[in-house]
Amino acid sequence: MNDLFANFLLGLNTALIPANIGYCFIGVFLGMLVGVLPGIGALAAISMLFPITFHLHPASALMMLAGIYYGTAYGGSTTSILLNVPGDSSSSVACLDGYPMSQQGRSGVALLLTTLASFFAASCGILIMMLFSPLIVNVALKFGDAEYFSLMLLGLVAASTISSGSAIKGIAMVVVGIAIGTTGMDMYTGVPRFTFDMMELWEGITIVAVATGLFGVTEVITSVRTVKPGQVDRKSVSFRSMIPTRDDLRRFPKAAIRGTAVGAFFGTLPGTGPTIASFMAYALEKRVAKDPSRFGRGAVEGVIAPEAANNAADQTAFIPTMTLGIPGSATMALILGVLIVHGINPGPRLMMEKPEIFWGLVMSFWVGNILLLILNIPLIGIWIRLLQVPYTILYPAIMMFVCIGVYSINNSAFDVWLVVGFGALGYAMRLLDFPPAPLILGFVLGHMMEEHFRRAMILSNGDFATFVDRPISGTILALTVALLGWGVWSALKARRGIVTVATEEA
Amino acid sequence: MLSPDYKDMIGGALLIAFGVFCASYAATHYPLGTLQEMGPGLFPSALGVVLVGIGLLIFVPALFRTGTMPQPEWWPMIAVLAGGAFFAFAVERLGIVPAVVGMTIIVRLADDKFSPLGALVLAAILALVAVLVFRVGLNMPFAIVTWRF
Repeated sequence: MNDLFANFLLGLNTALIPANIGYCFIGVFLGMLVGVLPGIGALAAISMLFPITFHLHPASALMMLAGIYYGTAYGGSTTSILLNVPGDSSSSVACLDGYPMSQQGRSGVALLLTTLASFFAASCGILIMMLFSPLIVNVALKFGDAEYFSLMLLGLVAASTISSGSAIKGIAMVVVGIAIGTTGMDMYTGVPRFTFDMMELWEGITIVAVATGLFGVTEVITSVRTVKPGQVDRKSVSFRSMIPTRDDLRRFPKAAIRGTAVGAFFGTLPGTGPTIASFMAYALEKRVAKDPSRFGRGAVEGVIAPEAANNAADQTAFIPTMTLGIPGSATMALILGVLIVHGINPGPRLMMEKPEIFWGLVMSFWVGNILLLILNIPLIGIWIRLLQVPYTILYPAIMMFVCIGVYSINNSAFDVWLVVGFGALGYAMRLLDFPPAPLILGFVLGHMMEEHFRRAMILSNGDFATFVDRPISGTILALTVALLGWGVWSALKARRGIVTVATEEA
Repeated sequence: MLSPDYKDMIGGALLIAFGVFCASYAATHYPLGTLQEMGPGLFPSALGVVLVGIGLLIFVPALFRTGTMPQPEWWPMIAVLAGGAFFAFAVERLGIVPAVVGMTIIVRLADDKFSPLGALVLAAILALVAVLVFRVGLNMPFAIVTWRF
């Protein structure tokens, strides 16, 4: 327990440096903004800002990007409730009962209760992270190369089969990502791979180019002609209208707790995240409600539970990422990317070697969520006004930040060319229905996977059986095979592309 | 006769092509080594082979299935990519201001509502913001306007 307390203090020390509070504030502010704006999600925003964070201290960079990530969960529900347009995919469910509440003049109540639920859920998520991370790390440190490889494989397979439209395409993208990641000097022999006589490729393709091109630029291409501003009914959002009724207050605790539990669970699993968590929480509420017919017509639990779920999931998603180095989603892969770009190795050692980064980040979650709690409602007026800004002005600005940001990392125009290339690839992928998220997961994990694989093979003298013989690794691999089988089976069952209910982007 | 699913056929074919490329290039250019001492070429070649397999898994069923062909939005794609390409070309040869201005104008062409004056104004504003934020604010070392060919 003493250790834990010391860690908290260390974390607070880092998180409460004024500069870091500032970065956290920028992060959550941008997160809220991005959450409110339809057409830009957390993933796109983080990829676009990724290059700029390169110039910051890694702890600060993480705090800012993380702030964007969980900030979107707060902001996204605002447009869902007011406009019936989800600003963020994890807030789509909030439309179902949130918008009817607005139509009944109860938008203030909905907004207030979602903010409170979000804060409650996030707090629980952070507590879970604080308490369980040291335990997880202790176990993980006993892992060998075979276990790491199998674990990463499981993570990749899970992420690509569970939420993408077609499991086969998801896995294909993972492999493509790993393949692209092999560019650069080989770790053991120093042989430059796939460099085609270009010096710039000796260090490999930078993740910044891949992420920014694949998500940021592609997003711009597809959104240019499709995003439209929305109309808001200004009068219904006043402070007085925010007072909840006794009935609302009665329903709040259970819905919030159930939502939090669902969210915390789905957040830690790779491949699932805030969006799926919010759908599940809504389904659960409807199932346990005494009068399910209220849902879809302004049932307050229908807004509280999903919003609690997506916030809890946002926080717990950091647990596998920061303790094991296994990202559960593309956005988490980018967060890992920040560490990698600064030369820090993610994984269980992170907590040991750089505790100030780990605990600083965790404590910054508190700072961020408190900031969000205070700011969410007062800023609603600004968000509404912002929604009127036409996308035509926004997207050149986005391109500018992308280009300059990427250029500034290595003072390399070549990197910008890479971004353009990946933007083209990303657009082609979108047209051909290939999910981009698994690609970046594969790209980020590819190096580490190869390293663990080769080392395991060296240690076992070329014997493949080592992956199956060692009990932990064997169990993990069995799970992976089971997942693969399930993925293939459901793909065959679906035949002609079943519509995926929730595509996990973030 | 309904047409086969060309979309997935193209996707599968591209995967197969990429896989063949990876495997053949890696196998011929880099030493494969043995399983005990894996050379740099082994992992990429293996990946290439896996990709060919997956590509086939996608391509073959598509032959027997119908599907819709996606409609690319050519203009937005060309404009955005060309804008980025112009920036990459210009930023070191012409400096950041011309790069931003050129990029903004080209990128604005993606939109049906294009007005030359509006684009120029936006370009000027963005260039100013760029210089203020990146050069003055963050002190990054790049030329504002230059001529290096």
